[in-house]
Amino acid sequence: MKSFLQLLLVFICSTAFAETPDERFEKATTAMSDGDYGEAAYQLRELVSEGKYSHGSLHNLGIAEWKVVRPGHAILAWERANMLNPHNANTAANLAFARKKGELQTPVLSWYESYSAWLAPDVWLIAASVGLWGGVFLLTLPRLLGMRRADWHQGAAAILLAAFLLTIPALFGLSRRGSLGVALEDSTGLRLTPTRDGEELVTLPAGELARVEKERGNYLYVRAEGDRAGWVRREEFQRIWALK
Amino acid sequence: MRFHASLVSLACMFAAVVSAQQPPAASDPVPVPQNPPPAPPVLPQPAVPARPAPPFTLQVDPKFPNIQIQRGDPDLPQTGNGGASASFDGTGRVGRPVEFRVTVMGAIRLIEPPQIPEVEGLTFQSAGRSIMGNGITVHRFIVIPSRPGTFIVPSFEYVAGGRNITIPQSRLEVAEAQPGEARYQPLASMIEMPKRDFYVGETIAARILFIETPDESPTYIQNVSKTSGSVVFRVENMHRSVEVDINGTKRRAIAKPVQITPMKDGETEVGCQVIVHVQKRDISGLGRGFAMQVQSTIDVPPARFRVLALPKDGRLPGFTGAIGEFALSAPKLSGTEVEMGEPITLAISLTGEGNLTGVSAPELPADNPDWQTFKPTTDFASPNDEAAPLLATKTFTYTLIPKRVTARGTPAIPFSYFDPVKAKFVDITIPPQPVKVTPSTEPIAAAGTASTPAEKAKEVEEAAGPKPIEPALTGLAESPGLWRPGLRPALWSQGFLAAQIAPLLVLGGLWAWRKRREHLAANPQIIRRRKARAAARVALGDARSAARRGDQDAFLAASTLAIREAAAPLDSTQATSLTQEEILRILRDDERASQTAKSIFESAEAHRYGVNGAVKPDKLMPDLEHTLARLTAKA
Repeated sequence: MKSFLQLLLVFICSTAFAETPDERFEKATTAMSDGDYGEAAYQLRELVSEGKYSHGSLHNLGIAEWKVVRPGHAILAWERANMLNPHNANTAANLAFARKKGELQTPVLSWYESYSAWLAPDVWLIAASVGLWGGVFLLTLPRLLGMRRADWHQGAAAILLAAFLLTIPALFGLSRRGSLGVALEDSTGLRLTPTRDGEELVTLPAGELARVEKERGNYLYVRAEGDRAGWVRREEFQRIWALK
Repeated sequence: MRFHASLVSLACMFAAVVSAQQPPAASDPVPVPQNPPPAPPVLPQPAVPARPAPPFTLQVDPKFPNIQIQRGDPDLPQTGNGGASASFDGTGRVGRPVEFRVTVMGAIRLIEPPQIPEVEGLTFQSAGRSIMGNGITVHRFIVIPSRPGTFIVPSFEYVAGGRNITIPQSRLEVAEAQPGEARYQPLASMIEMPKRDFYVGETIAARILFIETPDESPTYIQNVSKTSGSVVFRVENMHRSVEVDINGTKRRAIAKPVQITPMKDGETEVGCQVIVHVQKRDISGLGRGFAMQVQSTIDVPPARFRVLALPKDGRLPGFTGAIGEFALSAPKLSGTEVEMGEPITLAISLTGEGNLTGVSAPELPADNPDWQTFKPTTDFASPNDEAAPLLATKTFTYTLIPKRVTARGTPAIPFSYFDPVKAKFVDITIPPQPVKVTPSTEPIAAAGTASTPAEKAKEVEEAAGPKPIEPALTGLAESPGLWRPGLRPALWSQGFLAAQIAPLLVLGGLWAWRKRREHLAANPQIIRRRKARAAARVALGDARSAARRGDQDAFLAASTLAIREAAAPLDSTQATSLTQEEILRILRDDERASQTAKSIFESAEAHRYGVNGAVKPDKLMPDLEHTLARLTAKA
């Protein structure tokens, strides 16, 4: 009973004194204004480790990581911010800046991948769901409810189903972009075999994008532009959309 | 019987093998067997005297007791060390080759052939070596005597594998050739070239021919190396079998194509040494019919020709060393309209037979006011035509950039070659190709108007156009935006997929509801039956209550109502309109139920008119329930 009360007290205290994401964001912003990029990066990384993501926090995390000379992590943060808000010009500009500075290869996306980048992934999903089920409901509900089917029912159903069809390539592009990831460390070695002593075939600079093709244990088989492919350790490479 | 014969023959063979493998008792020379093995059958040739079998001894090396070495001549002093021997294969005849063998024993790698001492009247030619088991190496030589007589090959030292070996001397008896006997004809060789004078730098298509004779036939050319001549001597990789005309006789030969390019004028002599694999047919000349494959190093008789310098008179502009017979293809432009400052390419191809590999591209005048020119690129292609080995195509590709809109065509490119057959230069100047030059859409600097360095720098800066804007790091985000619990799009979440099932379930439910409504509307008796059953259950409950209270009136009223409600679906009328007769008709097949209904209806009728019969609800309840069950089952 006593130990339970102690645990309860600890929980209450921890929740009472835990910082909210907004508070952490404010602390990070203040630290960056003071030039303390290390503290800012720490606060924003804590948000990420707690599973709290927002476009603003990721954008600022990218800047903080860039300032503390971690270009791979900076590009990863900006890529994630860009995914949440594809139309933010500042994030896009930072990505272009980092790629120019690091002389990185710009990944070539297929047309459906570029198309899927027009909107945030959730927007595409909502559009697809609303389009499909809205169209189906509008076509079937009047008959099921014994109502007379009006012209506007059919018109609206056609529009919604057309919208659903337009989202299909985007959904496919989203699923393909899910394999994209970023090399975090400079000279990330692409190994011939998924082993610690595997021969390094080529290295990737920090921030280079590559696609994950398969996984084995602690290693990922990635392919970058120019068919540079090999096994990398998981800690050296991270997907943009952390699937797990 | 046949089995016994086989056994006997096997036993004989075994005995022969055992006797052959038994080593001699001592290493001293063993007396020659009195009956040497019979010689191979020889076709009767009266013109050639039968050769006497040479006397020989068998010597056994103590190290190799199973090996018996044939000594040359027992009359001659043996100077060998017991591990080597030298011998001729019988006697010889003038002009006919005879085989000479040097046999060396010992498990050492004897790579170098022995250097045979010179013997006047004999010509030695190496014919390869054979390495046998137990470390025996036999070096073979073909010896051609030039005169009759007795020849002695003296004993000589031979160092091989770091070991000194003494080869014993050997003797050859040579007789005159028989009347009418043809001399041995070795392989004929020559360098075949066109019969004319050539020019310095000209590439000559020649070939080295090895022509077969009745005694020798070429099989394979291993290596060719030039031995004389101020020429560039390029040998093709392949050789082919051809037929050549020698004094009106068709002879088979092997031809090796070579390309000869003279470097100096004057009388030139080109010779080469070739390693050829030769098949020697019947070297004995006795019709024994065996052939022998040997590797011969042949000095091909040199070819002599005259080389002239290119004439100094009549030389045309654009001559870059092309000598031969060529044709120029139509020039190809990458476009007929070009913007000022934009590059355009001009490709020309020179095809023909000659020294195309060494021909460089004709140069454009560098000070052309209309065009900026660059060093052309070249591409060489050869069809490898047997009939025309020098046939090839060389393509020159020029990159040109128009400097003025006034340019109406590409500049003419002077080009010429020298025809060695006609002995004159031929002009093949590339004519101008029409091009339309349009003004540039990019701003260009007004050249030559600046007077000071600062103005010039400004002009250069303006000419370069606006500088590309370098990307830069942007400012911070002022607000965090919408927080979300993870980065994974909902597409991969199970909740999203489950949510897609909900609309399906709603639609399925609505469809089932709609179908049920339609079914009930099409079958109204179902509803009537359900209502009747419900009403009958209610009336039965009332009857039970009345029975428990002992209220006969209420029991009878509830019982009659229950029976009427239960029977209503079996008739088209309302429940309250059903008469006793109608109900009894329905229950006529069940005596118990019929009697119960009759009793209840009659008691109820009696009670209605004030006659209180002896109705015992408790006892009637089971019958009533049975009756209702029957009616419900019928409905």
